Amino acid sequence: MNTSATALGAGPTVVMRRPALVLAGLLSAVSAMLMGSMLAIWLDFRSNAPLRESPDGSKMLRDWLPENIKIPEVATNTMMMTFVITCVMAQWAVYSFRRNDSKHASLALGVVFLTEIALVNAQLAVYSQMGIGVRDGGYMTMFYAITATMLVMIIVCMGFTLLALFRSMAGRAGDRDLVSAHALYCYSVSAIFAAMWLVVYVQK
Amino acid sequence: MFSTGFKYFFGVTVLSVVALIMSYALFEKFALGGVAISFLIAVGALLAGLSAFSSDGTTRDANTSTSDLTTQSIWPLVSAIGIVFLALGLVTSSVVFFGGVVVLLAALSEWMVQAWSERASTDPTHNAAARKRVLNPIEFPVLAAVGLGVVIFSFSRIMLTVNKSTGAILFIVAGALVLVAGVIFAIKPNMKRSVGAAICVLGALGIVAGGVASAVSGEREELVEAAAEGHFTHAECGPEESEYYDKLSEGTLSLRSSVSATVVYQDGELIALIQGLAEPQKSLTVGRSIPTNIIFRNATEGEFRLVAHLGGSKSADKAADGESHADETCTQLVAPGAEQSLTLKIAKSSSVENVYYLYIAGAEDKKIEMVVP
Repeated sequence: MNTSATALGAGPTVVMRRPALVLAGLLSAVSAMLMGSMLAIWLDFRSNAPLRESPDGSKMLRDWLPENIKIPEVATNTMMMTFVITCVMAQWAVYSFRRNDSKHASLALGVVFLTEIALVNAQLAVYSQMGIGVRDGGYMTMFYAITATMLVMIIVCMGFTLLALFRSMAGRAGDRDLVSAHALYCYSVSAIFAAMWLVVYVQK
Repeated sequence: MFSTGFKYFFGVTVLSVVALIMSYALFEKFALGGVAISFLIAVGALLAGLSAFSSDGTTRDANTSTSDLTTQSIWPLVSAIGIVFLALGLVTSSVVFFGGVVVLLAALSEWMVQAWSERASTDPTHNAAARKRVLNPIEFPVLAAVGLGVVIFSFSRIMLTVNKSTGAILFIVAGALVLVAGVIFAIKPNMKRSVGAAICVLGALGIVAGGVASAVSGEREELVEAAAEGHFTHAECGPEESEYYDKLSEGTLSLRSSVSATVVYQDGELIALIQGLAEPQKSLTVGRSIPTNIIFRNATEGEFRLVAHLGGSKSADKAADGESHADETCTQLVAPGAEQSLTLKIAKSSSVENVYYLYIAGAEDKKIEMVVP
């Protein structure tokens, strides 16, 4: 008796993806939607706040920002400008990686990390100068919720920078996807901060 | 030319733009929706651009030969819905949260097995069979249980809506229909599977549709009133007979084990008989945070109820609402010679603020102190 069996071919290998870039894109999307939702609620609260006279009595203001609270605009504007530097440095790292120039890539990422430390420091300085409590009122709670969320995003970005810096210093100059993903997240966090800066610190 | 991811996110972006324009035209308050949708547009555009740039994250030298083996999957969508339920549950209710957990776990399991099976071999038929072999033994019982649950829940909604006599008729009709269907299946064993399935699906759909309609119209009036007034949840501990709480009062008692004490009302005295102590007691030790069973025996000629005062200031509460004290529980009115049980669970030790005692409703001088160490 003849028997025969046909073995099925093995399944194809797993498709290689660009996980770092895709993850950075999704992380950016999540961060943007989170901050966007919070800013929307902030604006809704502000537009529903009752009206009060300005100190000189010349116009009516929304009674949203308590009169005794002063936002340190020097620190917040400095943060905005620091983000611009962060983006330029992150792009410099991508540029250097494309040319297999790991020294300059590491330098650029190091500067990015320093600017991120400066951002965290500036945010803490803002908290310290304002001297308000989380439970002092609706504005204060919303203020801390939004700015603390932003702070968390900056800290996540710092972690990302440290990872890219570590790989760069370890000689993984070919790992362009990670540095591109890092730059993408830096741009996203900068854009998110710009929106938050405009609404919370400028328009108040 | 355009990747699937790009087309999807481009569509999301375009729809978001349409939603932004519509919200601007239709709603007076633009801050909440407008800003959120604007961010959605930005995010959609970002992801569309990223998808186009990276060809949905595929590298140039990637092996894309799986494309003819992969099938369209619903599980990413279901997973996303599970995550949404999870997040909503955190701010709404635990039911939604755990529902989200279940949906997410189920979707991830299905997704993983499907992804594995699509790479099992180069033969799509074999891959589909591999998936079925792993998942069908789990899917079928779970789906059957869920389907049965939906039918039972729908039927319960119907029974809560119709009045009592109609409910009885409905039960008879439903039972008769099940019997008829069973007879048909029995006498026509060679009936087409599609006909049998159609009968079952029609029956289930009828019940579910009835359940939805009943849920929309609400429970019948007497149940709404009972729920609003707390007929069956609020123990009325006064000396008089309660219309609802004392309805169908229990006269005999089956609880005989794990009884801490038998409290007897006889000859105008309230005493506690505790196992191991020969003499009747006027105080009782109750363990803290332990369910404690007490039997109340009415050895008088009248009807009485035993009330347990569970801390707090009784006079202050009574003065406040004029009703029975908030921190007390009681038996129903107990007929002469009958017994009832009372289960207590006291979380705080006895103190000046927390005084515990048992007494006869309407005769508060007849009391037994409860000591909680």
